[in-house]
Amino acid sequence: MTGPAITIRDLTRVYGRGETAVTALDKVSFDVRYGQIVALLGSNGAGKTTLIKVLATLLLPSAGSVTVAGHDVVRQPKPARAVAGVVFGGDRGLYGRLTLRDNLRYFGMLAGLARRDIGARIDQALAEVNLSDLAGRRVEALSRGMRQRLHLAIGLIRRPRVLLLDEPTVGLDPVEAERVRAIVARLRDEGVGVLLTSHYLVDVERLAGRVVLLSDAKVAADMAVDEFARTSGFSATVTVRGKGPVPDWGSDPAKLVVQATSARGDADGWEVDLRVREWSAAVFRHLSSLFDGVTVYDVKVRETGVEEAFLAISRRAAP
Amino acid sequence: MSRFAAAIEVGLAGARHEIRLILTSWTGAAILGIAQPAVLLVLVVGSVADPAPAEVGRGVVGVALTALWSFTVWTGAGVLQGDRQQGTLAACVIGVPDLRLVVIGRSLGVNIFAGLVVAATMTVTLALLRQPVRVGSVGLVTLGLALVLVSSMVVGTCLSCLFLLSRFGPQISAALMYPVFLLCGLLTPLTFLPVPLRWVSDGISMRWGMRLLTEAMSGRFDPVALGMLVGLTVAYAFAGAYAFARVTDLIRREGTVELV
Amino acid sequence: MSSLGLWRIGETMRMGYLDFRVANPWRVNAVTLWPRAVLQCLFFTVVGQALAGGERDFAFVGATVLAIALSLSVGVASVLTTEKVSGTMFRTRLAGPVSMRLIAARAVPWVVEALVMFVLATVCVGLVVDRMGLALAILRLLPVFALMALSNAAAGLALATIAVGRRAEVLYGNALTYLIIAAGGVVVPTTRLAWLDAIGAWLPLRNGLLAVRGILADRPWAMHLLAEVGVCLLWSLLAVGGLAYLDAKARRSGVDAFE
Repeated sequence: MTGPAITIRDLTRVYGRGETAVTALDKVSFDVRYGQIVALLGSNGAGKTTLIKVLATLLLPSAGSVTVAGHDVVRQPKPARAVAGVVFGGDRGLYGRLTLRDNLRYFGMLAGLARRDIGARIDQALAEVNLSDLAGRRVEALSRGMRQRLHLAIGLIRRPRVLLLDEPTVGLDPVEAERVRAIVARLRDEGVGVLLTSHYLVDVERLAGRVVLLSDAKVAADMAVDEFARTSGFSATVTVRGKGPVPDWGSDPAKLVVQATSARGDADGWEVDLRVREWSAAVFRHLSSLFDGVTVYDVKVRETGVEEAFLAISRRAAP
Repeated sequence: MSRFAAAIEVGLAGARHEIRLILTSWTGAAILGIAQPAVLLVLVVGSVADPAPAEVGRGVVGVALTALWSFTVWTGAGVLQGDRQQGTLAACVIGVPDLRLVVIGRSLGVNIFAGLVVAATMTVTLALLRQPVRVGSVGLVTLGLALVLVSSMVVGTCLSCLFLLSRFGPQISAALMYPVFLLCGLLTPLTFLPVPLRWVSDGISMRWGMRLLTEAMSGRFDPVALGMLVGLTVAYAFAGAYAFARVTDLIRREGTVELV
Repeated sequence: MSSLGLWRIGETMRMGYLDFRVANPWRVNAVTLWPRAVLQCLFFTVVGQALAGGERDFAFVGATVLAIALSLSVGVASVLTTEKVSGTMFRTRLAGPVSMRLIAARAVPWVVEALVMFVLATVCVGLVVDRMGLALAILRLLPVFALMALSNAAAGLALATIAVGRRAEVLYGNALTYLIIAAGGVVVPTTRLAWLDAIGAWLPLRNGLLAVRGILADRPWAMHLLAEVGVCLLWSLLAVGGLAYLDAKARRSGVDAFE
């Protein structure tokens, strides 16, 4: 497969007109390659779902161009739909009183599958999401996690080359969420181009290779995940529990500590979080020297992840 | 596979899906397909001591078409309304097959189901009333019923696209029931209609279906009724196809309808 | 009843009104439901006229009550189904066993709307079929129709207590309406099915309609009116019993029709 799976150039989407117009997307541009997972992040109302809807041909763009597997979503919506799988997830979007098989049959027909192929594809899709044993059960009897997997099966029914996932793990317990992530990772390894939105940043850390951050309808960041994590300005958070006078981090000439929270507790026992610019054995020894005269009970180190970066960038972008 | 064969496949898949949906929510079908025709038949035929065969034929046709029209407005037109409430509308809108084909198929499912259930109900009710029915020309009646079913399917499809735009689709549907009952002379003679309104009824296909079938029950063929029924159905189909394309484009452009 | 009790009933009625208004915006009802009530009345008047060989008074009087049935056989059930859909019945139960007084107070807007539609249908159809004199005579009997509305509401609620756990509110309510049309002496005096007419005596509206026809024709009517009161009480008792049963079942067995 040559060329990007998804190409977005100067995509703009405005709702309403005149004074009440709302710009949900403002000249957004980025690509998604085959065999890649790109995570689309942003706070509520940033435009993530709007963008997914434009890619899915549910919404027309107000301006700009969008292609899915080389097909323009405005001029060639049908071939674009035929190659893309869309998963919105949630409790809606399924015929609750019908069985899994009946749902897949109908959605498979809508996905363009022919009658002769649909039976086999249903079986395959159910097997891919480990729901084969429940094919004859009504959807309303399924747990939330099972319904989410059914949504995924529907998105995969036509073996898409491009997969659009809007919050695929929302409301799932950790075990179910991990199951869904495993399926998505497998698809990436098979060469499917995936665009994923999620508020669960563990999805991003475990799955995505790249992050696009939307803020105020615009692209605020577009970079690899580990590079994104470093944009927070600190590479690790060190949590120290101790007793005695709290050191003065500001007096450290090496200025290793970027940010320190106020100590929680009192001189008989306190806890403090230290954000350090970099983390290594040498840094650890240097920090240790700052704790002279302090009884240290516990030290925990957590490498900076996507969440910290997201919060830091969001705060910087906030008015 | 040829495009025509693919279209047939989509239509039949839609019909099958809709029938399954109706069966899982059978309460609505029970009212429209059993309670309503049974009660109307009891009133129209069962309240008269010794009705003439022509009266019975007219009554039977009137009740059947009344039930069919009720099915059309409540279930046929509500095909996409139901999807909107369940959040399954997006899949229909972004489906590979033309949405109109899918909706036509689902409306076909409604009408096939309606036809079978109403026919069964009326048979049982007439048996309970011990009322024989004389059918003048079986062939003409069969043709007429088939054409009326197709016409209802087309009307249901047209209405469903309009109801995409309004959250109050069921209320609008319900409001359309009685005007058509009255304007088409289904259970009441058209002579009861004020003269200024009679031209309105001429533009409703169900009115001509009623005339075609009533004549067929008496063994007579009415070519004018047949021509008007077919012609109006074709006109509705073209208008509906155009309206559908505009409505779905509007939905995607405005983004104001909740599709998921 | 204490002032606190009165205040509580008032608040409940207010809640019922707010709930009703959200589900039934008057602008939408004015364009859809009210015309439907008028057209339904016109339709059954004309059907009855056709069956009676041209005489329309009998059918007109009967058709006016269908505006009541339209709102109260099906619509009033939403007082209970709203609790189910919103998942709020447990909060009502936290205050103690759910009383029919509370449910009845929530149902008041439905009864009011039913009577409004009845008046609208009577006046509009009276004008169309050139029976304004009869229409005005019907309207002078509004208290009788108010009684009929209460008995229809009671029947609607009683059936709703059975239907709510089966997701069959629409079926039961509409079945009641159609049974009233078939057996209530609404459009035609009787049918060939004698057993159906026997059922009709126990349905709301039928005895009240006989009382109305008696008053209009200067015939005895008091027993019919009493019978309508009796039917109203019977359905009210069934509604109270149905609600109590649902409550008890939820508390004892954990099977809740409202979940």
